[in-house]
Amino acid sequence: MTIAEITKHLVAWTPYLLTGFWWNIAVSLTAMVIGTVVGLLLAVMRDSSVWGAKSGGNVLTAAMHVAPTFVMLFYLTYMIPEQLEFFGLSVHVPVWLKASLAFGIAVAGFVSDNALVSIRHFAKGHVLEALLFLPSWTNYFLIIVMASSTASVIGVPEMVYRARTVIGAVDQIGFVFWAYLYVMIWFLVFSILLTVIMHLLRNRLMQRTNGLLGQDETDLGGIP
Amino acid sequence: MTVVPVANSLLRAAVIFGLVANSLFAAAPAVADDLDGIRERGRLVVGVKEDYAPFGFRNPEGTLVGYDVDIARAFAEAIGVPAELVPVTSANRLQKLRRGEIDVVVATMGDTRGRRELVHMVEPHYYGDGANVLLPPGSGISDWADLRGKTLCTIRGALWGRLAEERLLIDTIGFNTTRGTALALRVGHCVGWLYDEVNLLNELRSGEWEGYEVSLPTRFILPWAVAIRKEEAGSRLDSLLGDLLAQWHRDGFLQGLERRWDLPPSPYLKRARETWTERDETEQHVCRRDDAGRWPLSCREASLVTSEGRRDLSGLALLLLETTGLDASVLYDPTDRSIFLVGLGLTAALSIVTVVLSIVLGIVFGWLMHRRVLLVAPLLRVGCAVLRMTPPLLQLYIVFLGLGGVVLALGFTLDAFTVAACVLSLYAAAANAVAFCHASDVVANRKGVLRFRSSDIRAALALCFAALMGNCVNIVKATGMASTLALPELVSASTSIIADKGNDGIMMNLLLLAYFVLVILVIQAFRLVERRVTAS
Repeated sequence: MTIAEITKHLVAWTPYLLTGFWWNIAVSLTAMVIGTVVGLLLAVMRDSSVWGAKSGGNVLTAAMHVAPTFVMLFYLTYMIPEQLEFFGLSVHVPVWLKASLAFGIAVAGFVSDNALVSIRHFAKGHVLEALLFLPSWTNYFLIIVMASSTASVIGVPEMVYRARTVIGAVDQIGFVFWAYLYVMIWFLVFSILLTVIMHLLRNRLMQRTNGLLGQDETDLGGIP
Repeated sequence: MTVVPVANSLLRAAVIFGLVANSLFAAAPAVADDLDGIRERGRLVVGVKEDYAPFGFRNPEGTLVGYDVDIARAFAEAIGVPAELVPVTSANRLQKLRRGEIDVVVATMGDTRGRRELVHMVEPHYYGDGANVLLPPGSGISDWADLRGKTLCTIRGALWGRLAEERLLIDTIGFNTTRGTALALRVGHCVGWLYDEVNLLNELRSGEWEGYEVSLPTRFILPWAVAIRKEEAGSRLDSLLGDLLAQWHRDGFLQGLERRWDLPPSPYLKRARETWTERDETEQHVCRRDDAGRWPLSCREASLVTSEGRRDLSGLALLLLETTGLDASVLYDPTDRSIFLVGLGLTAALSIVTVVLSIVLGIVFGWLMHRRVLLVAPLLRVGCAVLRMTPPLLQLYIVFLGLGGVVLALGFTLDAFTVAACVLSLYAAAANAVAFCHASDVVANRKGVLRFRSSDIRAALALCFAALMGNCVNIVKATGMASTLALPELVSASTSIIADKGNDGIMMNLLLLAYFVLVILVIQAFRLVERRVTAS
């Protein structure tokens, strides 16, 4: 395959692939929403002085840290039926929602820990320190977008899944490498953009706190 | 530890329960022996199909013929009486047998646990069919896992459609007729046609499907059985028919019938012949009846064996299956057990290699970055950033599938385990390197300069220990991704057992439990090391 041929194919399939990227973002955002709500609840439980709530919140958070998202994808896909029955009402559970739930578990574990710190800052009146939760949250969103590519294994039509379809359609062995590399570049561009925005946000917070908070590198600790 | 005594007493209680249950069943009325009755009557009455070519159908003269019919006649000949053939349907064959209208059923009947509640299935089985997929030329599909999330055409109401959706996460669309399904595949409504393997192979031979192929391993194999009344289990008729079938597997009679009726060579019969002709070191058949007249477990279909008369762990697992429907097949089915244990071993090995390699590489890269080594350090910084800002799944694909193609052209193949270990290690090493580099900077600031010697390295390690542990735990959790490279690790093992047994509840919980234990062990190992690092 010549470079011209490869480029032609990649350009032709770009709209199709990018539609898949919206799926990555949609699945990840849904996971962030679910995880944040659950995580905040857990943080409130852990911050309360009620004994049962406190230990319950701790145990649940620990379990969420241990559960691997890749395994949870399969777990939820097999364990949640496609049609859920509620009081005679039948609700369809799409596969992308199961993926969001799987990633949401990791998000909840993360939010539970970080929101707890913020809640305590807030209680002491340190509003700006509490707001530092936002850049970490965005950072975690980035991690979940990277993880969302694994939703392809349960059939969510996101970008990596579509890359396989494109490779099947073009059907040339030399094209496989370039197709995956091209998709990877889109992920990279997205990451860089988001990281830059995150730094700006963080720096503004730093200035507001007069450098009270130590500068620490944004941490991408690998997908959960 | 209080768990062990509790588990022991549970085990004992279950064994006693099993013994009681067994004696209850044994109290059934004395076994009726039909063999004399059949000889007195002077004929063997066999139920066969009349509408299922080439197994049981009518030839132009109106005579019942076919693969099943030949078996029915051979049974009668061995007993020494003529056969009387009675046409049956799938709907009435079991009732006719239970009412005593026929002695034996040989009518394309799949052996299932449900049917075993009603009649006795003679073992060994006489034929077996499963599902396969007719794929268009150049589909690029080489495994059932490639079909996940894709759509297959199937015939409405066929068993396979439901199994594929539930167990393999494949979408199906059902059509009413064979022709309709074939047309839907041709115009591209689906990526393949899911159907009985025998029928698909027949379609291929029709010449209408140039370039198409049926190349996946057979799935959902359903063995076909000869059935007699439930009361006759263990009777002389039962052992006679069973011995005949075993003999026919050994001498190739069944495969001869297959050729005679122009059936495509069935993988099931081929495998059965290998099983039944195998001999042990004393030159006796491995598959021979024990003193109680039973075939060895390894010669039977593990998915259909019952707990009756078995008092070990596998007997308990079978009893659990029979009483609650929970199918812990890894406990009683040797195939499933070895698939699962191999998966567990591979995942554990991959975890260990990845953790060790990611820490070693992380320290080396982090050190080089900290020392700002000319050219190397900036290159590493960019490399680490790229690795951390792209999905590891894509990194796996690029190396295994992308570079794999290039390497293949040079005459090499990439091994899935090596690729997974290298890619996942590098991915985690990138995060470890950044953490170690930071820690080194901090220690160097404090001490003036950091040397590459054990005390300085230890100081830096102690500082970034939590980060390294977090990264390593995450990479252990991500080892399941190696399943996408067709490595038979724990996730692949679990999904492939589910595909055959449909025991998704048990297997998924077992998989999750295994990962919980693995992650907790890794965390414990790190805590142990942490104590030694921070102690000095």
